[in-house]
Amino acid sequence: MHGCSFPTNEWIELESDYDHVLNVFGLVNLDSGYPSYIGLYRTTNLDEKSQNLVEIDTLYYCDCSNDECWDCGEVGDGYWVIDSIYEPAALIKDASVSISDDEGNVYLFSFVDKITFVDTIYFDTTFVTYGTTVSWDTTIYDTNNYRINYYVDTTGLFIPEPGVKYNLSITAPGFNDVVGSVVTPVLPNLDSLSQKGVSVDTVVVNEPFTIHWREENEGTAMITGEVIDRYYSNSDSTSDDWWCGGYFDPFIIDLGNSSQNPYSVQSEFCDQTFEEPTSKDYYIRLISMDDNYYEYFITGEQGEYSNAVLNYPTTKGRSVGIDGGFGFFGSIASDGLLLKISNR
Amino acid sequence: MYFFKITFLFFTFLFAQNTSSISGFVRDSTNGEPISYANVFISKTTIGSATNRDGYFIISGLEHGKREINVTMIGYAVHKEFVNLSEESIRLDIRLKEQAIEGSEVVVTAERQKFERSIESSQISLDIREINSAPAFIEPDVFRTLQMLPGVQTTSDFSSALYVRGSTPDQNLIMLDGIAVYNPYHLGGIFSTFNTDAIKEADFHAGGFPARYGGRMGAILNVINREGNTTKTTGMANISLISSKALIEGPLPKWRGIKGSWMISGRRTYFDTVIDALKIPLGQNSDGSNIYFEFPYYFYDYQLKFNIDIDKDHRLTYSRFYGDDILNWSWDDVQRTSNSNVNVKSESGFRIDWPWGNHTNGLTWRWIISPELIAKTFISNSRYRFDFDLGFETRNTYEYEDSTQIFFTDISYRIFDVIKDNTIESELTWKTSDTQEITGGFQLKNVNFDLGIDIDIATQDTSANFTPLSLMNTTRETAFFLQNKLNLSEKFKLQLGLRGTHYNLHSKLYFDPRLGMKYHYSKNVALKLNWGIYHQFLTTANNQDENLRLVELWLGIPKDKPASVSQHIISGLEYMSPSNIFYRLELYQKRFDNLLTLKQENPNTIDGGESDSTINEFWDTKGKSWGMEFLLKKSSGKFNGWLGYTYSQTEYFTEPSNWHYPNFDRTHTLNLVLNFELTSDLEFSSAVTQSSGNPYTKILGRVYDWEQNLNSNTYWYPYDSYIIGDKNTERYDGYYRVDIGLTRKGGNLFGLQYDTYWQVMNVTKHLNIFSYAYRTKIDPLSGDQLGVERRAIPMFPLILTFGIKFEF
Repeated sequence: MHGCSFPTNEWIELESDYDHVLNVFGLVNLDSGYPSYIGLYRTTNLDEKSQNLVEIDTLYYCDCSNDECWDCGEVGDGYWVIDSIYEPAALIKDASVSISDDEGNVYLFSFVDKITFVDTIYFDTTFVTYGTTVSWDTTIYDTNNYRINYYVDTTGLFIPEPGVKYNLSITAPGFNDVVGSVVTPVLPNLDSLSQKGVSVDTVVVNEPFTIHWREENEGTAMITGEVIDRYYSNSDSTSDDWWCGGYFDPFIIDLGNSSQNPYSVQSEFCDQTFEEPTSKDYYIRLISMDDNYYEYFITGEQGEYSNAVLNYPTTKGRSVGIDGGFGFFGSIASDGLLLKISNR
Repeated sequence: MYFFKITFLFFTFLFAQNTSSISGFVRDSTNGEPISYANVFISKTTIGSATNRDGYFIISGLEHGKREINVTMIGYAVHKEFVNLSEESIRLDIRLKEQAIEGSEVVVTAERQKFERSIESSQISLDIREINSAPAFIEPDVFRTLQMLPGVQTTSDFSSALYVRGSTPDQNLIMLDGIAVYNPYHLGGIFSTFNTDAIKEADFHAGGFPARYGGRMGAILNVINREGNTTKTTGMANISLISSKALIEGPLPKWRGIKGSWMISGRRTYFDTVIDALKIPLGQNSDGSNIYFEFPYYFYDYQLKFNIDIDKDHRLTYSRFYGDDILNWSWDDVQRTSNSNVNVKSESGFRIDWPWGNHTNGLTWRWIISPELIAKTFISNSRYRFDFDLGFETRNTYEYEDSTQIFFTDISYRIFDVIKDNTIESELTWKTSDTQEITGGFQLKNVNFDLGIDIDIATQDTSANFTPLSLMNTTRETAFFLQNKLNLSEKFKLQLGLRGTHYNLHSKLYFDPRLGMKYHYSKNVALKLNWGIYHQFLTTANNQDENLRLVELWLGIPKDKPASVSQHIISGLEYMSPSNIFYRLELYQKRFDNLLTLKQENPNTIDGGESDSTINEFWDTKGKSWGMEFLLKKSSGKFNGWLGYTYSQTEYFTEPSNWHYPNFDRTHTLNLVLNFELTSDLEFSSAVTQSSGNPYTKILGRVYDWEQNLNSNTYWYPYDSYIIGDKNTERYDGYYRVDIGLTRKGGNLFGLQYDTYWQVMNVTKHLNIFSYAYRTKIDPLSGDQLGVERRAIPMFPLILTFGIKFEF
């Protein structure tokens, strides 16, 4: 017979004491319409906020009796909608950033505010002030914008080419300089998609298909597939907009390896019963990548330390394609096929 | 056989002198078990000997005439017997009767015999009473008791693995009746493989072991099972809510002068059936049937031992162990859907089939060629098998009006490690005189490894088999050894040894010289010095940072890697008080070279990416360990136990981590094990451990890493990662645990004798830290991430155990 009683243990806050370095995300993007940019941050302490509120604005009050509010059923008469904008606490705005090539061209990158993430979160309606818990009579919805700020080429002169070496240089007050280099990958060419041996514009879900690309190029690439607006509307499975099937795990290929071309895909099975024929946009994408990008995102970290019970990725700080800080400097180029996917 | 005959003639010639010898065995009169370290001497002289582990003794060089033999052993009545020595050597079979220890009577104890005769440092033998003395987790465990000795460390309460003087568990040679056992644990190390009911004695060498032992560079543990009762059939059973075990032993029927004994023991856990019977609901299947919580794991083991005395000089012993841990679970589901055109049936299934365990067989032939010369030949087979098989199946059937289409995917992932050890060895022990004993022999060990990963994928269109890892090889260690134990004077003893091992993968002969010295400063004080080189030809592919070592993945040292090697230097001071309390102070230093540390796995690799299949990739590693140990041990009397203190420092070097403490290193460790017979039928036991905390790697701060989204909407998003500091430079808070136990003996239930026991582990409910869990602190109002918090994951809580042990 057995019994047990556990000792009590509490969560405790942690502090840091170490020398900070720059934390870089550098990408040279060969795709037209997609900018190359450098994200620049610093390492942070364990007892430090990871984000700072930079702006807050009350947008409007939604009156449930008069307006078309989208969540009146739960909150009663109405609610306030506010707009809060956050940015990473580790953001570095005052650095000197440039990319150069081996022909002596130097492109200065400038810091530009840019909002990239929009997330709506629900806020607790109770708060504590002077030791008293107050319950608000209305609920506030916060359009919680997260501002990711980058250094970009604002002159429009930086137009990266495939197979070219580019050098990165970063100088920021109070930190060691960071340098890096990358050789851009080839431009990939996605040829066609076939099903049952026939090239198709519409893929029938639940049936395997093959993806073809042109083999004149060499290098490592990844293929992804996406049903556009797959989760459009909401996740109600009875909705006509709900879609299942078509997804497959991204996979890596060697562009110069003819034995991999074409590549057969058995995509996600869909067991939904459709009353009517339905189709969606289906986007197949082939992305070539340089060695740095491959090492950082595909090979991943080969850590010095790993432990099943340490519930977080651990590293002493990864540096891929850069020296003097943590982060990476890499490059991609892509090609895509916009098709249809149908349930019939 | 020809070799032995020649040897016999040679030694017969050597011993053709005008003296005689007395030899024989000393056994317990109630069950016939051999008694080790009994004192056998000639009355009114200082001539005498002690029995060895087989209960065998020899007193040689005796002049002819009538002599009185005395045999004493604590706990037994003194045996006296007159013998008349003539030309013929005399062979005795002495049976000692148990007798309660009388008050302050001072008799020669086994401890004193060991103190006087042993040259080896760092060696300790634990009998079954001592093994059972420490309060246990659910049931007594020899490994848990060994963890209470100086020099032995552990990573956590959840592990019974032995980390000895800087050596990891794979550097220890664990034997059951002389047969190597490769993964001697159940339930991921919480229990050891060995059922204590079947154990007679555990012989443990923390280092500096002699040349007769080889192939490992850490420690030696030889667990000796009982031989079986030679007088009558008896048994015992132990029952608790989660497991039961039983042992039966008795004499073999006599036939044409051949006699013997047998012993069978076994146990099985039944967590699985108990949990099933409780029917704890978890939810429902899609067909409406209930889902209950399952715990599909159990382990079992059994041990057999047969001794056959063919005649007074020849004995055959067969020993067998068979044990497995089984984890077997499966899940199936069927869904159906339809529209006007088609009926769809979707079947999915998931299964885990995971057995692992040891099987051993050993046959020993002991031949007493002459009283002074004993040969032991040993054939053994040991198999360790770990086989993890994970399967996932989906099958979708479309039934149209005029056709049927089936899409299916079967994925099977299997990782396995099978190690088969076939060994033959022979050993000759020649006691040339009262002052010299020469032991020599050879060992041929074939070890077959099969370590691999198989992945099978089958769909309606294709099937594929991947073998990302396949390591198969057969290693052969051909070893010889010779050791010479000399009493150079009354005060000075010397043991020289040499072991040579040819390792087939390297086609190279490795030499391991060994040296032991002992100087008796006085009757009660001795100084010891041991030195030796130890090679090892096996390693394990386990993550060195893991807190829990579920299994060990063994493989031979590859062709392109040199054999691992260690050097031990041990000096000791021993004092045996007149009241038979043993004190030992030892200093040791160990150096390790050519160790292999498994490279860490990268869990982030995606399909098609470069897989750092890490099971066969290693960092070259070296290490060093030194320390001081103190032991005070009182083995007899109503109040007995031991106190141990260890000061230890171990460091390993690998290229990415430089010199660092391994995760098992504890600088200070204090152990106290006490037993007190409160009354004749009530016994109190306690165990206290206080030690430095184990090392861990601190997190310093945070840094962004990035994830990618390369769909039509392309972006890269950052996430916080921890930055870690130098490896294992921080330590958990100190470890402290007090266990107590109370045993009431002499219960009687319908004529069946039984003992009841109550045990409380971690009675102070001290928070001993197994690891830390980390989380980001969030402001509940704003949602801001405010920083990082951590909380300790505890080791054993306070655990209360109650059990009953029957004897029949």
